[in-house]
Amino acid sequence: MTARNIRRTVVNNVMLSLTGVFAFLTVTILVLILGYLVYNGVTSLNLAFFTKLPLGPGQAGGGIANAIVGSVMVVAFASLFGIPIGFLSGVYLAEFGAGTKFAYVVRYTADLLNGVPSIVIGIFAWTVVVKPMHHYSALAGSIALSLMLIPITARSTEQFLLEVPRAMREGALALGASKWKSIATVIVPAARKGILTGMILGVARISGESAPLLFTALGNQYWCRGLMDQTSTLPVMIYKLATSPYDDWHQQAWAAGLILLGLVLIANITARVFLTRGASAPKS
Amino acid sequence: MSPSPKLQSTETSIPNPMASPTTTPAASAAPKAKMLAEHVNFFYGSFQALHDINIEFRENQVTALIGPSGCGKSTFLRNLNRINETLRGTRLEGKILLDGADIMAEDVTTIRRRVGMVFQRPNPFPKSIFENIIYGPKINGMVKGNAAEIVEASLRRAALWDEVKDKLHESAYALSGGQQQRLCIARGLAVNPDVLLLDEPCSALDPIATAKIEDLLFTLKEQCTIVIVTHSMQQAARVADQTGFFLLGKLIEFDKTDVIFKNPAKRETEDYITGRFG
Amino acid sequence: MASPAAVIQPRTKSISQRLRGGDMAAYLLTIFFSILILLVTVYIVYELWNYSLPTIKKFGLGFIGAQVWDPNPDKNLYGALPFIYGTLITSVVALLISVPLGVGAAIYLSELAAAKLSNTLTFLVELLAAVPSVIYGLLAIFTLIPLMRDYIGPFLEKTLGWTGLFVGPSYGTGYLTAGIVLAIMTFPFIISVSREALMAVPREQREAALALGATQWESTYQIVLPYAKLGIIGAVFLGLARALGETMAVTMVIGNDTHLTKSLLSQGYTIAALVANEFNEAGDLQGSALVELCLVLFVMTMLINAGARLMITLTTSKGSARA
Repeated sequence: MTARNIRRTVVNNVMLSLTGVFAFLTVTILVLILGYLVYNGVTSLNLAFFTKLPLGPGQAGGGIANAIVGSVMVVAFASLFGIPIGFLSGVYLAEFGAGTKFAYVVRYTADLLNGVPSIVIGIFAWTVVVKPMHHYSALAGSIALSLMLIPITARSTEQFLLEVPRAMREGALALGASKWKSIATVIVPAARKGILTGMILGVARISGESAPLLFTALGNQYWCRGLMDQTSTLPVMIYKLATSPYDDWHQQAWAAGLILLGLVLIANITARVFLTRGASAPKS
Repeated sequence: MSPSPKLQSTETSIPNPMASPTTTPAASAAPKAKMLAEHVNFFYGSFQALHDINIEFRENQVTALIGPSGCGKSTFLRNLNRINETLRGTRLEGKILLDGADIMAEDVTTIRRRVGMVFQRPNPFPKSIFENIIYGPKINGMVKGNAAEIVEASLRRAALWDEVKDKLHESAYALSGGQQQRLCIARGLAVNPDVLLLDEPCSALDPIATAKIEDLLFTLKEQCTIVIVTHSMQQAARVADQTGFFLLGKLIEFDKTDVIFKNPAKRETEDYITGRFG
Repeated sequence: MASPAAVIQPRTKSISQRLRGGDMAAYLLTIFFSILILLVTVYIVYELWNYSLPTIKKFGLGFIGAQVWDPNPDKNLYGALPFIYGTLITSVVALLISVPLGVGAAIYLSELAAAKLSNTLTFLVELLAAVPSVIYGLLAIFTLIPLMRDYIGPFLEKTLGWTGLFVGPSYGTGYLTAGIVLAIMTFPFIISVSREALMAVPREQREAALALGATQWESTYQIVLPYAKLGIIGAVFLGLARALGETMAVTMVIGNDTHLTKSLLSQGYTIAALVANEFNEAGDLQGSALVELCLVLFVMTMLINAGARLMITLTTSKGSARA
């Protein structure tokens, strides 16, 4: 082999190995994240952690129960608003409006909304809910999160509805079904796996968001007294605990982080595994 | 490596399309085998695609490989420049020799430079015509200040020079399908291969473009050894000196083209020729 | 359900007739919610503009270039430059790290890894992309900051301090730390979009290069990568847009300094981090300035997303033009 060819072979081997190293970096990072959370957080996980309210620094036995409940409440209401709106818009984009200019505008706007930084969404929710009401509320937080959920759900619903083969649509119509009937009884059920996965992934995503909640749900040392009250949520709690100057609160941050990440990963893994017996995953 | 009747040494000089190698004494002797396949078996995973292929490709001659779809002729061709290695799970048994040397023992990039390939659909790079041609010589270190000459010579060998000489720096995609395919031939020729493999090069082209490329092969074979896989028996009859008939992964018959088409020895060959199947 | 007599009736119907009943209701319902998306987005822009008005009126266009942030009631002066700078510089640093790594990993996943390995790794990449921002921040505070403060910062100061970019005491927080966290966060995203762009390159392109005697790396780097160029640039733009808007992880490591400093080791602020930290306690004009900053951020991300979308449409149209 000439010297030139030797050089080319060496470069080839080095560069290709590098790409492998980079790819396995992802595994390393994931393992590190999980490892740190488990190592630092698992010792704080006990029943009290899940059921008690937070105590002051230095006082043992506190928990994040209100944050967990708060998160569940805020995310549930956000989904209540966001999923139907997103789903029905997705149905419009794929079924009624497909190819029209108006649908193009809606799609473009949904992508635009999707790209709005979450903190800006939070500010918006503040201006339209918190400011007029003169107080922070879980409701405001839910609205902020639902604004993030809508475009995600709409686009993934559209994506999976469009994947339903034309033969199936025409088959339903040929049997005399009206358009909405064919959508409701044939097309949507055919795409239900993907649509459901998109929804689960969307909900998992907003469960981890904290920026939009900073000016809406804010936080609460005690139990939240309802939608109109401000509430603590898991991600914001983690933020506050981690940035505090107290060591035992740092401990709690790790544990809370472990819970949050655990839930998000479980949702993601379930949804994606559930989906692989079918089409591809939704485009985030 | 024995010197071939064509002019080029592998590194520096550009080929002279004006030379007539047929006047050299070596060519008038019995043509020797440029490439040889011995007991070649080939597997895609557990599926055996080629069974005990023995065939020779004579220097400065055109050999055609014909057969119905899925018979293995393209698979076999792709082993000659080891491009099948880029697919996962493939396995080659047996020997393939280039000038007497086992191609598996040599550096694969050297083999591929010496055994060029033109693919079924034209696949020029998204670059200018000039850059397409000079790519091969550049990576193989063959350009020594003579880039323009290399490009012109290659385009002339592919009978494309007159049509593109004024737009060398325009995108290759501006050319017609037939021109793009001749560009791909020119690109393959630019690295001075000993052997040129063509995998159904005209299947995506119209009859006029096809005719141009077939004419090309007559002049090209004086400088190269050519192996062409074709779906068209008429094409094989027109251009090939030797023809091999493949069926279900086996080489059924291999002989002079005249013999295959006028007086085939095997009944399967005759059935295929006369159109009873395929 | 039609009686024999009804079957004989002529079948031509107008669009409105065909959409009668259930269809019309469904159409109206779905289009209503789609319109809602439009309305909400317009409303967002309107509200942002509305609340920015006091600052716009007071400082005008000079706000963008001003380097001041003084909420004291006797001063009440605000300028956007340090935060625009911080947002941009952290994102640029992030991309400088994550793009080569991400594209490299994508090359491995699309060309080198066996199908099963590639799919497993891609699955892990997608999981990594789902990790919430605050978790990255949590990890960064307790792992990256000490690392930066004790090792990386001093090292960079010693070796590259002459450039002026790595100066000053490194407390562990700052532009570079935020950039590194953002790099880790955008990394999985760059991988998955680049991988799709690379897999879309026709196999014949790579084979043509290999058939000319190119090594696998040469064919990937010189032929496949340029072919996928537009898609990868689109991925970079999208990654940039995400990095610009990242709040939590950045807030936790940037150091919260409202001044614009050249050194990457010094503390700073991004728009998102500033807003996150100051909004709740902000006075009127300060709050308005913060909202105007949000408007600026919104415009920035919108432009970059539009650019990304343009790249992607160009890829698909170019692809069909080549056929």
